Amino acid sequence: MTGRRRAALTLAAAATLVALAARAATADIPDFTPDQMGGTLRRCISAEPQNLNPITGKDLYERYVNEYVFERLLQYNNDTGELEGVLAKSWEISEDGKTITYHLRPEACFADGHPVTSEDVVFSFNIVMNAEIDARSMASYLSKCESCTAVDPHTVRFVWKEKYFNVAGASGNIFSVLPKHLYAKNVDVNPEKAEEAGITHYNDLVQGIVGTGPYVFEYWKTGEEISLVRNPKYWGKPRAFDRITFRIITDEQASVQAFLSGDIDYLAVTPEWYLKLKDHDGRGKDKDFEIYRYSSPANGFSFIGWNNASYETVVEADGKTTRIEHRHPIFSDPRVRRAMTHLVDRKSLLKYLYHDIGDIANGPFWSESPQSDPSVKPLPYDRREAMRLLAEAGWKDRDNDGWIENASGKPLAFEWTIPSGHQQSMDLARIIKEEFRRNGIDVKPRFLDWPVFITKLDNRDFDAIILAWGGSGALEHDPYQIWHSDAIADQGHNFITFRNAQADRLIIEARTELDLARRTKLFREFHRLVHRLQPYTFFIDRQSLRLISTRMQNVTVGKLGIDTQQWWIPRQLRRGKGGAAP
Amino acid sequence: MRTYILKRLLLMVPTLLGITLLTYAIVRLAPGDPVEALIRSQAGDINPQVFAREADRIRERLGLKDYNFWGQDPDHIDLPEKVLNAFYGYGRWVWHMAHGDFGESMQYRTTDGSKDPARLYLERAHVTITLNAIAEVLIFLIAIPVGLAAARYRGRLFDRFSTIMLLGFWSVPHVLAGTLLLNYLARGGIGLEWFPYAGLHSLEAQDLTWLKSFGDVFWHATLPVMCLVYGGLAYLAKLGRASLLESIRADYVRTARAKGLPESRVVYHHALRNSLLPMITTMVMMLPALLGGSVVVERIFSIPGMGQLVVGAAMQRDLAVIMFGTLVFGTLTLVSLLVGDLLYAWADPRIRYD
Amino acid sequence: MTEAEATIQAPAAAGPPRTYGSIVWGQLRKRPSAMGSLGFIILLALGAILAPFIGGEVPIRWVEDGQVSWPIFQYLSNAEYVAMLAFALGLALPITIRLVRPRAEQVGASPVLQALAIHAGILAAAAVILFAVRQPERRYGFYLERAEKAESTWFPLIAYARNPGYKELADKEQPPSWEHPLGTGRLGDDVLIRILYGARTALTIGFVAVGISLAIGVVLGAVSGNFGGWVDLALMRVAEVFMSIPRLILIIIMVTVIPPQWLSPIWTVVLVLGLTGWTGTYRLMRAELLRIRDEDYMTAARALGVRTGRLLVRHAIPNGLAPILVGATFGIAGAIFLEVTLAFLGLVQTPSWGTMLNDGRQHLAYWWIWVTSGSAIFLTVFAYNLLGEGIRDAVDPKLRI
Repeated sequence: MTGRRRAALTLAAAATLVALAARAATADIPDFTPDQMGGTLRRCISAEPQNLNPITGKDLYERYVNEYVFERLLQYNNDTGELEGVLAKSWEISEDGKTITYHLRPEACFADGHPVTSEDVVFSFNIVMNAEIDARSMASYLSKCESCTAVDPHTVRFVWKEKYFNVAGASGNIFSVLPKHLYAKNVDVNPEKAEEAGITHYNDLVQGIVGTGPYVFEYWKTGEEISLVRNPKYWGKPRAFDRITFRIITDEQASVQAFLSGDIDYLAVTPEWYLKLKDHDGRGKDKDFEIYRYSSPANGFSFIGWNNASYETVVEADGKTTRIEHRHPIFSDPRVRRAMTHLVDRKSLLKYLYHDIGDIANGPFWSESPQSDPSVKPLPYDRREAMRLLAEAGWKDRDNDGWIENASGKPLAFEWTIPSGHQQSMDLARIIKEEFRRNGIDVKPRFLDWPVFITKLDNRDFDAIILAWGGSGALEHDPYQIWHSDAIADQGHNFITFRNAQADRLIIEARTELDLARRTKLFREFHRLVHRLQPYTFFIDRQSLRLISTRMQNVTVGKLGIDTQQWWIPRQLRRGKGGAAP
Repeated sequence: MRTYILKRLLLMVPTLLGITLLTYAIVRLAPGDPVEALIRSQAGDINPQVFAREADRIRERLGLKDYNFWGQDPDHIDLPEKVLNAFYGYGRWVWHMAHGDFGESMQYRTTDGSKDPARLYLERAHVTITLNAIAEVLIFLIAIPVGLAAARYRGRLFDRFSTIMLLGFWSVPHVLAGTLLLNYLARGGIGLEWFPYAGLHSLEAQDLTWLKSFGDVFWHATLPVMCLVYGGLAYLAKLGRASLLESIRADYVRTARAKGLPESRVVYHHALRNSLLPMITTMVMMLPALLGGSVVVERIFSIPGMGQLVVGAAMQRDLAVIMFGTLVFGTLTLVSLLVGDLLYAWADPRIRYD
Repeated sequence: MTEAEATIQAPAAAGPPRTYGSIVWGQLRKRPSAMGSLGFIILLALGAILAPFIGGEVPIRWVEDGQVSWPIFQYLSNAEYVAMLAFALGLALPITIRLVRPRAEQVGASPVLQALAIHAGILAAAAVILFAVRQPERRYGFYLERAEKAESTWFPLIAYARNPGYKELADKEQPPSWEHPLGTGRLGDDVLIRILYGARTALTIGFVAVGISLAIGVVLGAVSGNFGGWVDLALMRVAEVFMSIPRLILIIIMVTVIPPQWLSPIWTVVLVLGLTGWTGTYRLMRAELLRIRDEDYMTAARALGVRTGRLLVRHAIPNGLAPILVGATFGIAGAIFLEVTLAFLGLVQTPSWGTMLNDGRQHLAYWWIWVTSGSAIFLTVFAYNLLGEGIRDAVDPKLRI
C-alpha cells in the first residue's frame, strides 16, 4: 500500500442552492428475493487493522470492514456518483451556502434497536471535534464548521463560518453516526481517570462498536480473521449475505493462492498479477473468476514532489530555534521542475512498471472529473527540451565532466526521499536514478521507514519525494488542503511549499462559488496553472484491479467503483463459513 | 553436581542482564524517536493534543523519558545524559520486570485487546512451539537412521551420497525452500496441490472433533515443518554418524565383537546407546537456531507465531516486545546450553563439573 | 583401509620436516570435494573481480578518429583495483613463500606468515596511494550508443548497461538468449551481470564479517587463555552474552535504526555479524591456549624469555588454525544465509543475490531470476560447507588418507 493521506473531500454532482428532493437511500441495493438471501462473502486483507473504531480508525483496512457496520447521513451513489441520503431522508442548503439542514429518517435505528435521533448526530459531530479524541483527520474537514445543533428529534442543522460549495459532503459524508446512549460515558470520562472508573475511554475502544449498518461485528481473531454477521434489526433494505468475513493473509502470493483455490471471493491485487492471471485457465465469465479493472476517483494518483523551499533552522541568542524559509536552490525555478518532468518517461514507466494499469496523471484532479481541463496534455518525454530548459535556468555542464552544475559550480545533485517497503517505488527510483545520471544529474534515493518519512515530510526536510494521494469518494475535489498557501504552515498538506497568489485566489473563489459551471471554470484554470508550474511531476492515475469469483452475482462497476453490497450468491454455490480449508 | 547446577543458574543472571542491557541500549540510544515514529506511522494526521498525551503516557510507561540531569537547556539532551538516561531506563525496566510488569506494546494487541508483551508472546507461543517441537522430533527420527546407516556402511556409496546430499540440503536457504514448497505443493499453486497454503488450522477448526482437529493441524504444519527440518537434518545426521563411528571403534565394542556378538547387536545395542546422548544434547542446543529459521517460515506460510512478532517489533522498535523477546530467547538459549552440558555430564562419568 | 593398515605408513622419504600445516594441507589436497569447493570459490572471486570485463556498458578498448583509448581502466574504482591486486597477490602466495623460506627457516620464523605480511604491506601501500591520488570516472559516456562511430571497439562479453534505464526497461523479463545468457530481470537488467556483481556482495559480506569476528575471537581467546583468572571468567560471561543474543533481531534493529547516510545497510549487517560472531573462534582459541599453556615446551620458552606474543603467533595460532578455519567457512555460509533472510524481510536495498531471490520468488514463472540467484546462493554456501567439512576431516588424524 503506497503511503497515502486522505485527500480533501468530495462533492455532490448536482448542488444547487435551494431544497433538494429526497432521494431513495438505497437506490442501488436490489430487492433480494428470499432465495437470493444467504451465504458468506469472504474477503481478504493484507494486514491487521490498527483498530475497528470508525472515528479513530487509522488505516484502509478499518474502512473496508466498517463500510458494512456504520452509516453516515449521506453517501455517494456508487453508480452515478451523486450524493444521496442514507440516514437523512432529505436536506436543504440555505441560499448563502452556509447552512445545511438534514431531516432524518424516522425508521433509522441502531443495531440494538434504539432509534437514530438528531442527538446522536450532534453527539457524533462532537466526538470528531473533541480535542481529546484522536480524530484529527476528520476534524480538519469540519474545521470551518461553526456548529451542529439538534433542531428537533429528527432535524439537525450544521452552520458554516463562510460560504462553502461542499457543505453537504463535509457534514454528511465524513463521520459515521454513533449511538449517544451507548458511548456518551466513554467520551465524557477523563482519560486519566478512566482506568479507575472502569470505563474505557473512547480512544481505546477497539472493536464491537455499535452502528446503524446492515452488519454487526461478530469476532476478531488476531492474525486470522474478522467476521461480521447480519444485523437482524437493520432498518433499511436487507443485504443478501448473512455473513462477511475478512481473512488476514500477509503474503500476497498466499492471498492469490487462497483466491484461486476458492477460499476467498474478492481480492485486490497489484498489476503484476494481472499479467500472470489474464491467461489463467479459471478466468472467464463462465469459469471460476473474472478480473475487473477500473478507474475511480478513490484511486488517486502518485507523484514526484519537488520542494519549492528549503528551510534553515536558526538557533537564536535566547536558545529558541526558528525556521527560516529560503527558496530551494534547485527546485524553486519552474523551468527546472518542467525539465524534470520532461526527463521522466511516464509512458514507458507506465507500460513496463505498471503494466499499463493506470493512466498518466497530468493534474491535481481525477482525469474523468469535470474539474480536469481536457485541453491539458501531459508533458512528453523529451531530453532535448529538458536540457534546454535547464540551460535556460542556468544549469549546464560547464566543465565537461559529465555532470551538470550552475554558475557558481554547485552540481545538480539532490536527495530523493522515498518511503521504503514498496517494490514499485524502489524500481522507479533505480530507473530514474540511472536515467538522470546519464543526463548528468546526480540523484541519491533515500528509502525511509514510513514514520521517519512522515516526519521529514512534516518538517519539509527533503529535496524531492515520491508519494501518492488517495482519492476521495466523489467526483469533485477541493484543492484547498493541498495547494493553498494556508496549508503550508502547521504541518499542513502543502508540504512542497507551493506559494502562488493566483492559485490561492482561484482556490478560494472556487470554494465559495456555489454555481457548478462557474466553479468548474475556476478549477480548470487552476489546473492549467498547476500544469504550467509543475510543482509536482504528476505520475500515474492509478487503477483498481480486482479478482472476483464468478459465483458472485450482480457484480457491476459504477462510476465510483464496485459496491459489494449489491451482490448475492445462488444457493447451490454457497460455501460455509470458511469454505474449503486453506 | 548440585552446586555446579546452582552456580550455572546463578551465572545465567548476569548473562541475561548483559543481553538485555545490550539490546536495551541499542534500541534506546538509536537516533530517532520510536514512540513518535510509531504513533505517526499509525495515523495519517494526528490530533496534536491526543498525540502529545499518548506519547507522554507511553514514554512514562516504558521508561523512555529523557531526564535532564544537569545542563541548562531543558530541551537539549546531550550524549552523556542520554547514556545515563538509558541506564536509568534499563534499571527501571528490570525493576518493573521483577514485579511482573513488562511494559506495553506500542503496536500490537492480543485478541482481547491486551498490550502486555507477555500475553502477546503467550498467544503465539503455542504456534511456534508446535512447529518447532514437531520439527525437532522429525529431525531426530530421520537423522538417527540415516546417521546409523551411514556409519554402518561407512565409505560405501550410501555414506558418501547421503553426506553430500544432506550437506546440499543444508545449503538451501529457507526462503527458496519455502517458496518452492508453497508454490509446488500447496493448494492454489502449480503442481500437486496437497497441502494448505497458509495458517495452522482451517477456518472450521472449532467444529471438528478432537482427533480431526489434531490431524488438521498436522496437515497444515506439514509444509512449514518440512521447511524447518531439512536444514537441521544434515547437521544432526553428520553428528550421529561421527559419534556412532567413534563408539564403534571404542574398546568395549571391540570386546563385544570379540565375544562373538552379531554385528547388528554390537551396533544397535552398544554403540548406539552411547552415541545417542550426544545427539540428544546437540538437538537441545539446536533449538535456538531453529527458532531463528522460524521467522522466514512463519512469514511465507502466514503463520502467526512468535517469530513474526519479534521481527515486526524489531523493525518498529517496539521496545517492550523486543525486550521480552530477548529475555525469552536468551533464557531459552542459556537453559538449552546448560541442559546440554548436564546431559554430557550425565552420560560420561568421566566428566565432572565441580 | 582398516585401522591397522592406516597406522602403518611407509616411512617417509628423507626430506624437510613436515609442519602441522603442511600435513593438513596435504590431506586437504587429497580430498576432491574440498579441492573442488576451493576451486569454485576462487573462480567465483575471479568472476566477481572481473565483472566489469564480462558485462557492462564501458568498452575495454575504443578507437575513434585514430585515437586508441582503454576506457574501462578509467572507470574501475580504486576498490576494484585493490581487489584485483589482492587476488593476484593471493595467487602469487606460493611463490613468495618459496622465496622467503630459506631466510625464514634460518631465523625460525614461519615462511607463510612472513609472506602474508609482505603481501599485506604491498596491498596497504597500493591502497593508500590509489585512494589518495585517483578519482575514477563516473559519467555515463554513451559508449553503447556511439559504438557505430568508432573504428574499433572491444566491449565486454555482454555489452549492455549495468544499471537499467528506460531503454533497458523495455527488455524486461526476457528468458535466456544469446544476448542475455541468463535472461533479464524485472527491470531489464542482465541477470548474468547481476549475479557477478551480487557475488561481490556475497563474498564481501562473508569475508569481512568473518574476518572481523576472527580477529576479535583470536585476540580475545588468546587473552583469555593466556591470562586466565578473573579475566577469563569475565570474558567467558561476555562470550555467553554474545552467544545468546538473537543475532537476527539485533541485526534487524541495527539496520532499521542506523540511517543509511551514516552507514550503508550492507555494512551495518557486516559489522553486526562480525561483532556478534566471534564467540566460536574465541572458545576454540581459548581451549587451544589452555591446552598448550602447560606444555613443557611452552614453559621452557617462557623461561627463556620468549615474549608471549611470539609464542601465540608461533604456536597457538597455527595449531588452533584448522578448527578456526572450519568455523570461519561455516560462518561465511551463515553470513550469506543471513543476507538472504534480510533481503526477504525487505531490509536490504543494494542489489545482491538475496534481493534477486526475493524478487524472483514472487514471480516464479520467470524462472531464470530465482533459479540463477538461488543456485548461486546454494552453490556458494554448499562450496563453503564442503570446504569446512573437508578441513575438518583433514585435521582429524583418524581420517588420514
